[in-house]
Amino acid sequence: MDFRPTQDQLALAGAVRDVLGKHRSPGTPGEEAPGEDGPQTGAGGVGGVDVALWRDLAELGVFGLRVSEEEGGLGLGHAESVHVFEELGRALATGPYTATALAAPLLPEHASGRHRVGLSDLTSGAPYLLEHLDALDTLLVVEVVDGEAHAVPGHSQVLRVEPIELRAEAVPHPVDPCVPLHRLRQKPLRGEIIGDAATADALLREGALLTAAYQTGIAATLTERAVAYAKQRAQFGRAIGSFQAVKHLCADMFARAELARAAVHAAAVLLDDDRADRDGADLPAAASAVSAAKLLADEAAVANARAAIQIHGGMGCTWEMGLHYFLKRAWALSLAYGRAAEHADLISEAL
Amino acid sequence: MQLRDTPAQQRFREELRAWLEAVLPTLDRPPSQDDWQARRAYDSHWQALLYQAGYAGLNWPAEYGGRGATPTEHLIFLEESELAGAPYVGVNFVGLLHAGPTLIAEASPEQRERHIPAILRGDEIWCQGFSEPDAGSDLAALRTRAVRDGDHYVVTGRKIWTSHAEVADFCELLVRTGPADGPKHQGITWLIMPMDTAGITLRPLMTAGGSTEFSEMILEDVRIPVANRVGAEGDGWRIAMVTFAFERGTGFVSEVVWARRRLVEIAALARENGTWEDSETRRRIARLAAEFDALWALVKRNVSQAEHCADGIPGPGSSVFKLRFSEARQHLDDLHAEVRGRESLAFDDEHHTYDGEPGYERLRSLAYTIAAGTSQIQRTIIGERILGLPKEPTAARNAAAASAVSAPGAKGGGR
Repeated sequence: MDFRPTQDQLALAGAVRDVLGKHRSPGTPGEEAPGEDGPQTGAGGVGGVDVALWRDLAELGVFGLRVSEEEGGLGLGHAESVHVFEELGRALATGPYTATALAAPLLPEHASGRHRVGLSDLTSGAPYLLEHLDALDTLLVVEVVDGEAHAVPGHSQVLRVEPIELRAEAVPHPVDPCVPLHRLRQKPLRGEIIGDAATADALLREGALLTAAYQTGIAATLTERAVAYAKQRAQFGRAIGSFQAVKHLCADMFARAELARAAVHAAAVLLDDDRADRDGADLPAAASAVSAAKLLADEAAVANARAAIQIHGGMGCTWEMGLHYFLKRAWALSLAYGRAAEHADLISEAL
Repeated sequence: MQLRDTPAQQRFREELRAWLEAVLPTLDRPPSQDDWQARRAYDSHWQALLYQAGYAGLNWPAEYGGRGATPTEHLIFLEESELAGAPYVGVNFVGLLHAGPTLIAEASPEQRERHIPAILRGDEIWCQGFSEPDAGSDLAALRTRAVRDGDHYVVTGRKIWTSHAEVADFCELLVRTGPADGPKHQGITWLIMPMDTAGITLRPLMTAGGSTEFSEMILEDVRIPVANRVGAEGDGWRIAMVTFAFERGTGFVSEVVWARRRLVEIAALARENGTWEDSETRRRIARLAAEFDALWALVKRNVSQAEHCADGIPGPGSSVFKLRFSEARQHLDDLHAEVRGRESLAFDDEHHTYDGEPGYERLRSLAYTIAAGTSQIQRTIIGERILGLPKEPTAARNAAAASAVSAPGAKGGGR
């Protein structure tokens, strides 16, 4: 047993962080305050995606991370993916990163990241909200098999849909201003069936893991920002971080982020081990671990966003401070790839 | 980054499992928690069995009779022992987890020779004389006086939360040898106090759960040989800090395994009595399972880090574990009571072993967020030592800050 991240994993995270550091991102202090259209739809942006950043990350190989080397990928595992996605979360990188990375092993022609792939889980019924629709080349939809009841495990399938064939209306004001939303007007969808229930479950499970990693990144970077502010902001003649009331908020933020990260890393390792065995023997344990990671990471991201805003005081609530972007993203992601109650139910079934 | 046993760890685990399987059926039922002599006999017998099998002092250096096991092997030992239902360290807790490691790190060769083998064999029981009625979280404020009289210290004062004092042979004692009004972290000395010395009075302190686990210890002119001092006079604070690092690192590890299994029992009970149908209860059980699984992962992260750092002493990251585990443990006992309903109002423990009885565990866990550094102290440790936030103003630091401000050129900044 050696549960420390390897040097290679840390180096990969560092390389991703370097690329992200070269691009503007929402919520970066000192950045020009973006308007209601969101910060990344200006020059070079499409459908809420910073195309230049997307291209640089694609060149680094982040989309083909888990695609075999013969098929043009890096041949790495979930343990590496979660390091990449924690960095994306730290920078609040915006776009269909999770879905495109998930689709790559399924559609190896997408491993290069040249095409953007979205993924929507429509099994729980309306509302049917799609993210980044204008930026997508392909949309994968997890859908209930015709004639089956909604949300019954084992009765779903994966469809491949052409985004331009969809009838959908833009949502005028998405809560997360960086992620354009469309409301789907037409069901059922027509598309090519490219995966069965097992594929659908695996996609959603891995999506939950990557989303949890992203949320951990949000929780961690907000801890650092709140701590830096608490050291520098003075009231009553001393740094507010010297007061226990504020210091203990920061300590709880750190504890939440660390615990969520340990859970995310454990889930990644268990999923990798399961894949290495190729017998699926540990899959229930790995699936529970993913649900635990998603639960804790969602909680950590949302609670840390609230705490960061609290520690920043009145300015924390403003548009220009940028903390709201993190809270809004944390809210949105906690409703993606399984809500808390769904993951709790999954865990309870295994108890 | 991986969680699997190496072949050597796998071998260690299998041998241990086989040994536990063979030896545990030979043990008697644990004695009543109130029968101290029987508890000592029971725990010492278990320690002797561990010693004979080569599992005593697992993580102690081989030159002091330990096994020199790695932190990971130590973790495997705690995990497998708990899974097999092996006895806890019991009255040997202070000797094996506090005093022993401190003596190895800081004592003279004669002192080690005298005590280390006896602690390992289970022949010598230790208790701890650190806290005082007026020195709890602020331990360095301790006031128990030690006055030098020839080749003895004469000690007078009060100590509290002294576990197992009734059956202990020795006490690791912190006393003030420096002036009462001097800097509080200086002038503290670490002494080995034989518990049969004249002038020691014990007053049992019954906990809310009804156990007589703790005592208050009144010391009146207790004469302790100077030869029993560990380290230099006035160096006791630093030596005590060595002990604390060990305590936070390993103190609660086997409890995570226990808590995770208890949760499975609670889920089974809830299915049986119908409370499982309540989705809120079911999800609270699941949420706690997630928490304990994450805590177990965090333990493995901390152990992996300790295994690859020079001194093997757990770092401040263990404060995160202590903070979250102790709170989760209290939620667990509350949830158990909720699932049991009115049944939780009745103790079901005719033998007074307390161990595992849910009503007793619920009351015992009140102390989890207090003992070994309160949750508030852990948050301050995380805030100051990990996150580097400025220290809380105190009377002493206010005085220092005032004199710094009055000094020429000193300008008050943000902190």
